[in-house]
Amino acid sequence: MVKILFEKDKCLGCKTCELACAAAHSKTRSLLGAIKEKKVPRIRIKVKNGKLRAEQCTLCSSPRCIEVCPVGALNRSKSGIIKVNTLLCTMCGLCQEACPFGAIVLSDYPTVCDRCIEMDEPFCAKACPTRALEVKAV
Amino acid sequence: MENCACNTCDAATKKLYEKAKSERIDTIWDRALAMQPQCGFGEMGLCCTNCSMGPCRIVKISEDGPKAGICGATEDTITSRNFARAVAAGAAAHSDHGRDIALALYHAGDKTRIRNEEKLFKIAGEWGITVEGKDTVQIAREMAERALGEFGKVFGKLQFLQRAPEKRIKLWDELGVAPGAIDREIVEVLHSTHMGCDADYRNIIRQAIRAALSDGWGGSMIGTELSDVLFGTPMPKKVEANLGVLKKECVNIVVHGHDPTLSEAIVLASRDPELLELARKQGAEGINVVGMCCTGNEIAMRQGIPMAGDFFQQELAIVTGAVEAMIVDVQCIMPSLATVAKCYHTKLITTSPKAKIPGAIHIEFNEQKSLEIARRIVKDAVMNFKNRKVEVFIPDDKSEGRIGYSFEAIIKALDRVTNSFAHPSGTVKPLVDAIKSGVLRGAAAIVGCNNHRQPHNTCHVTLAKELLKRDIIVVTTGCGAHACIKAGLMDKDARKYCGKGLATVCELLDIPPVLHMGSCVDISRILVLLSEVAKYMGVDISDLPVAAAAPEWMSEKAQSIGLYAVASGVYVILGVPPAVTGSENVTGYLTKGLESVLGGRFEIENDPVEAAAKIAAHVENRRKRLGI
Repeated sequence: MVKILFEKDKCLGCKTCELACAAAHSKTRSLLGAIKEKKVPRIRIKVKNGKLRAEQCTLCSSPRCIEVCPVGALNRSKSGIIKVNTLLCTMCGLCQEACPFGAIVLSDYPTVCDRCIEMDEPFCAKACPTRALEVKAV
Repeated sequence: MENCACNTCDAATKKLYEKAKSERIDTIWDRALAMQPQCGFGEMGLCCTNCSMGPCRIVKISEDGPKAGICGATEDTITSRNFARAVAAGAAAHSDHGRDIALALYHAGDKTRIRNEEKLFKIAGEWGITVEGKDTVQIAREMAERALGEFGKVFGKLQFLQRAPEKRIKLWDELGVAPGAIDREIVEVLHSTHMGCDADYRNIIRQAIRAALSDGWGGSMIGTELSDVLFGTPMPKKVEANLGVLKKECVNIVVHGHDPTLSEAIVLASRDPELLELARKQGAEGINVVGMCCTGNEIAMRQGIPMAGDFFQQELAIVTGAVEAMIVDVQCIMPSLATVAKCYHTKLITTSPKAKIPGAIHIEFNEQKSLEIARRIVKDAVMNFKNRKVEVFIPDDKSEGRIGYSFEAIIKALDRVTNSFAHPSGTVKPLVDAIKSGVLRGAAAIVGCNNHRQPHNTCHVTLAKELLKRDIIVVTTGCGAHACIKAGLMDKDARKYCGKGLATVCELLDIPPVLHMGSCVDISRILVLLSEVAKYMGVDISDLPVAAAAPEWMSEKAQSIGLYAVASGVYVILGVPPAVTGSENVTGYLTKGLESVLGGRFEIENDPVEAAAKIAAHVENRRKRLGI
């Protein structure tokens, strides 16, 4: 499994990770492409209750999103990431509500961090100018 | 925190924010919250986008991050360049406002449109314009031409620099910061901060100082002085302030922005019997013109028009549901107004070719046809009265105060206590005497905007009260003035906040302890006052027991003002740090280094109570140095 650790003391809130994520998931792997295709980032830097936090799938041990999905559209792959079966998904949004980390956003279908599994390294961590996101294989 | 985004000490603001919330209308506070976190690179001034090799960002937080831009620009170069460009933009905004006033004077064409001949002759004398054998219009035209020349003259220095104390003029000359032509100084900042030009942060700041001085002692001063010639020098008068000045039964017109040429014409048109009759036919009791932001200050000072609110209250004025038209010109106009206005019947009318807003109705203003256009706009507002959609809610919060303390008005107030047998009237002697004797410890200016990083109005008001308590008299302009009048600090009653000395001075001169000196370009009035006091005492401005503070500043104009104040020798406290904190050298230079060069410096302090203590300490230090 690939974990991404967020060091909030290093984060300057520039949101480069968000842009890189959206670009990584566009067809042309570019920011312009992401905007055109309306790709949403799967990591979001937010301030909640006065504290900085990164909203991103943590690959938690008992994912609530899978539990609540009434049609079984979400499941965990071998590499630990949450996969969405878009054929089954009815876009009800229960997974989004259930995730305690605010990691899921409904953009048509649920979007969850896939750790850029098809690339060599998660783009968010690669793009972070302050190295606030650290990739760890566990 | 999410539940209470609107952090303010003003009751009307709170009530209308709640109304906006209940009607699902986003205002500045909601947008500020949604913007969190804000990019730390921008906040520290460490992001450079001056060329398309960038954006380059200096990463200080991790050891292996880049420490120079792609061209090699260091954090010192990048932060100082960004700062200088902000100053240049601020100086441009103020100065272009001044230019528009000069153009209005040039096109005045008719004697009745020049309301203050006395000041016209005074400035003519100062600038060496001969008046013999010329009529008023001719003199005005010549003066306007000279003023317009200040923007682009090839040789020489700005004429108004001569108003500064001799020592200051000499210092500026020695340092090479005395500005030549206003436009040129701004252009030079843009040139020298272009990719591959100036890399020395001290030299970049030196250039920024020239641009800033060309604002304070140039563009702004031209704006103020020629506005006085056209529309009259402000004199003390009572006005009401805060959103409670809107009237449910009347056609409400909010004029918002900066340039008095538009607002003066609107005020005139609103008194037109024909339009008043039309308003009555529409079921309204009358036409109620109120002012917002600096336009509010301008027409309140000259016409006694109520001051509706400050920068952060512009959207809320529309949220009352009682505003038929909001008429705007330039600067500090939130583009969001168009969206908010769409939720009500309010017509947002833009008037300047320099500031159009998608969704607003654009009726271009021009000085030659000012009254005609103003009548048309007022008529549009009147006809909109019957279209009110939602239930009108006007908070009952309003306060009263005495405003209009131009330099001339202050001298007049001082004349009340001048013994005309022993001393000539029309001088700052009584003020100097009060300071020398220690009855007044000193003076401070509280100026500037609103900024979501600081609690709205709270910082202005807390700082003012803390200073009054210490017998430091306060002068104010801009949105700081709105905050102070709303808190009742321009009322006679405000003497209760003062120390004994200041309370006595206020009583003898019959003035409030916080003096409203005008809009943000009118900070030039404060420069003139400081200069006259320094000259009278035979010292430099930097020797005086005075300070300035911008506790809630946000605009580029405020950075220009801050820098020209520092360059004029004033100790300036900023409640919000400028985007230079990414460089210790630049921050250190602005907050310490500059003092040994110019006698003034910046201080960054967000806590208004601490800021007051620092101002008091500075004032006492200067008193000691003067031996008083």
